Order: sequence, then C-alpha cells, then structure tokens
Amino acid sequence: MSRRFVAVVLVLAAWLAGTVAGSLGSSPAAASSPGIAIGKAHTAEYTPSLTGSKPVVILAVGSGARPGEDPLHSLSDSIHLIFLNPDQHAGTIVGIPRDSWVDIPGHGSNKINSALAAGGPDLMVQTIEARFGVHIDYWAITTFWGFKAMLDKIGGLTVNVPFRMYDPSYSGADLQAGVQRLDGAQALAMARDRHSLLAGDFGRQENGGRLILAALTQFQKEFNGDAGSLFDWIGAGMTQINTSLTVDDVMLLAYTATAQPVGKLQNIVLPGSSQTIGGLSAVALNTAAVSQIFNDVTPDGIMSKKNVPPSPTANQP
Amino acid sequence: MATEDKTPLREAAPSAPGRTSKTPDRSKVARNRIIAGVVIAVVVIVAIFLLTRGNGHIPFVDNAEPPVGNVNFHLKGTEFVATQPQGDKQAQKDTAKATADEVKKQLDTLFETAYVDPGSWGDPGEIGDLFTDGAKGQLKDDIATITLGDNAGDTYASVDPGKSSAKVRTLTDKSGNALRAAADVSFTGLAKHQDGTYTEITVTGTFFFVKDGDTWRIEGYSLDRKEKPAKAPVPKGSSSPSAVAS
Repeated sequence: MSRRFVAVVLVLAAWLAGTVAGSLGSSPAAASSPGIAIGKAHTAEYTPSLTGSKPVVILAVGSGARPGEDPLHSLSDSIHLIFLNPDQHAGTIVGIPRDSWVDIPGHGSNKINSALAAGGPDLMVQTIEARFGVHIDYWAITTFWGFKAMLDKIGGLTVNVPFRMYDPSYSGADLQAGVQRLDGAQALAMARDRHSLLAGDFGRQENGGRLILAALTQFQKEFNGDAGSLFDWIGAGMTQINTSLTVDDVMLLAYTATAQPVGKLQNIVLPGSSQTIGGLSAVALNTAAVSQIFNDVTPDGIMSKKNVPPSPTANQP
Repeated sequence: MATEDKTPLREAAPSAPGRTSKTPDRSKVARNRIIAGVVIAVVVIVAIFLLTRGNGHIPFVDNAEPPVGNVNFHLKGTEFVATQPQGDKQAQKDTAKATADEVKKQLDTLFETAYVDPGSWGDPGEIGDLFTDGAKGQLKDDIATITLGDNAGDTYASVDPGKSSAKVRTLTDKSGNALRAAADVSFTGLAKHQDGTYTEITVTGTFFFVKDGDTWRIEGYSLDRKEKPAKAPVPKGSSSPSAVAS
C-alpha cells in the first residue's frame, strides 16, 4: 500500500512537474499576448424602419402667425410636401408657392396659404389633396419662433447657402454664399427671404427644401456620432411643432431618417408664374407641368429625372 | 490469505542478522518517502499556482478560481427629454429616474446573459425576450456584438465584468409618462481565453428602449465592440490592485 501510494504521489508529482514546465510559457508576461487579432472590433446597428413601396407623405407648413396668434389658423408662409419611399430609400420634397391660386373646399378660390387661416390643418390638407390628387398621411406645422428655437436647441444648422442673401428690411437675411453654421435666427431668415431672390417665393420654397435637406444631413451626422442625440432632435422638434404625428410615428420616421440617403431626395418647386388674379398678386401654377409632376411622384414618391422642373434659383447670382 | 502469509514473514522470518536489524529502518524510509512525496506534491502545486497566477491549465487549479461576478451598470446620468412645451418638470424628472433604474436592470441582465454567463453567452435565444420582435429578428446578424459571439466557448473560458456605466435619457410627455428611453452604455469585461491569454472587451453605444406592458424592451441599438490585450488579473488576496487592461 505504502509503495503504491508513494508511486502514485511520484507519478502525480511528475505530471505536475511536467505541467509546470508546460505552463512556464504562460507566465503573466506571455499571457498578455492574446491568441486573437488585436483591435478586433464589431459594430451592430438596428433601428425599426418604415417599410413598403407606397410613399409616406407629410405636409410641412411654416405658419406665418405672429406671437399671440394661433399658428394653426394663420396664413401659411412655407408649404412643402415630403414624399418618402421606405423601400427604395428615396423621395421628393415638393415646394408649393404660398400664393398658388387654388380652390379651397367650401371657401371658393383663393391663395393656398389662406386655407390654414380659414380652416386649420384639416382644411389645408383637404385643399392640397383636392388640388393635386395626393393623399397626405401627416401634417406638421411650426412657427417662426418655433423654427428658431428648434434650431437653436440643436445647436444651429450647417447649411450650404447657395448664393448671397441680403434682405435687411423683411426677413433680416444677411448671408454670404457657402457652407456655414447658421443659428436659429439666421436659418429662419434664410427660410423667409424672398425679397433678395430673383425668383421670389419660388426661390424661397426651394430654400425651404434646402434647409430640410441640411437638417437631415446634420441629423444623420450627429446620430452616427452619438445615436442618443436622436432624442435631442425629437425633443427639439416635438416641443416646437404642432403635428398629427404621434411620438411613435415620430420615432419611426426618425429611425427611418437615419438611413435615408440625402442624395436620393429630390428638392423641387411647383412651376408657375406670378399674376394678378381677382385683384390679388398670386401664382398661377403651370397646370400641365404640375399634373405631370404629381402623376410621376404620387405612386411611389420618387421623381423621374425627366420630370424634374428647372430650379427657380438657377439664375440667381 | 495473502495478508496472513505476508505478515508473519515480515515479523519473524529474516534469517540474516543484517536484514533483521534493517527492518525498522526500511519502514521509516518508506514513511519518509511518503511524506517527502506529499511535500513535493504540495510544493509543486503551490509553485504552479504562483508561476501561473492561477492561470495554468491544471483542472483543479482552474476550478479554484473565484466565480465570475455579476454585471452592475453604474448609472452616471439620468435626464428627461420633453416632447411637449409645457409640463410637470418634477414628474418628468421622477419618471426619468425610475425609467433609468428599470433600464439598468435590463442592461445588467442583457450583459450578464450575453457576455458573462458561460451557460448562455453567444445564444441569441437567451436574450430574445429583452428585445422587441423587430429587433429580435436582427439578433442573429449582430451576434458578435450583442453577445460574446457564436461558439464563444471555443475561444473564451470566462468573462469577468469590469466597470460598466450607462447614461439614460427618457422621452416624456407633459404628464410625466415615459415614452421611450435611450441608454448610452459602456460595458467592460476581462475575458480569459482558452489559451490562457486575456483580453479586455469593451462594448459602447446606444440602446433604444420602448415600454411594453410592465417591461422595457430594446427596439434599436447602435453598438461598437472592441477587444484589446490585457494582463492577467492579480489573484484575490494579493496586495496588488486587480489588473484589468494593459
């Protein structure tokens, strides 16, 4: 028994000694050299997203209400239809001249911007749907001060101002051409200025689209740097915008927007000409061109290149 | 029978005087050898432990390591993001705090299950309930980031959670109801590999949570996982501070 025990102990000792010899190479110093690739990294991203080939259509309105006035029942200053095709990650921003002469259901013919004053967002939606044959899913309305506050809250907006804008008497615009960071007041001035533009309100609506694209670009950049910043944008927007969108809708749109290529959004303005109609200075839309645009964009939200109207500010010095 | 035969022989038989006189000495030698063997074995075991700091591949040494700890995210910030212009600020603040506590629990469970517990790491099925249906469908593609990885056991022996923190932002309505939550997280863990080496695993990024009944589920995420060489930890009881990363 004793010999066996001794033998077992010796065998065990020998095995352990062998293990020690083997493990000497795994000293702490050696253990700091891992068997895997250094700097190994993985990323993972997922956010819910709108799906479907049918476009989502949002009516975005800048109300011209002054402090103390009801923004939902005032003349609208800027009007945009935003078409998004979720499946194709493409879309179109259609600027509608605010002075466009249209039929307002139950209110005769008038400038399109008076629809909001006459019947609030519902009548505005009804008017646009009836005139252009488009279905609007959501509306969102902000004010001058809301727009300014919203942009200040996100720290301003980096915009490529396409040309010199100088309109000290009305909008207060005083912007040099080029990429720059605009604070809320400057961005608002850019959105409102029509007096320094050759194309007047047509140019203003196009600049509205440019600001929307700039905001999307910046949103994506900030999201990619800090995904949690999405909440800052939503908070800034939701507190300054009246909308039919629920928070769930906004979240889904925001998530979708994180992956929406800016370059696949076409910014256009409905073509027309300024005329005096009914004693008022108004815009007579180019009926044929407008029909072609909506026939093209309504089914899938995407504008064919051949139907894209000329930029109203193409000749702006 | 064999025992009966041997015992008398040993006690009474020796014919040569020299042998007779040596019998008690041989017994002592055998006892000394046993003692020496045991001492050697103990010394060798201690030597192995000291040389490898407990990281050798000797089964009973490995088993003697302390069990892995629990993940415990430290909340380094909670805030609410209002979605309506006017509202009860205190109610929204309270909601943000309560939401952060609930989200923290989900994060603890997620990383404990996905990274620390060898019984469940790398298995998307084990963490599925923490995600919305939409996000759940994406888990398999992101397994190497959301969890320790597919077949993690082939590479890793254990993961000991280190310092982890989260900043939780809560979207609130004016009444103080929580609508969504976003957690900016930083998780660290010291991974021991099957080959005895160590790496520090870091997962950073954001989880988006949505309330589903009484619980918060992850509906989106944007994460980055990194891994870098690390020193072996100093055994517990040592006066040196525990090493985490190189």
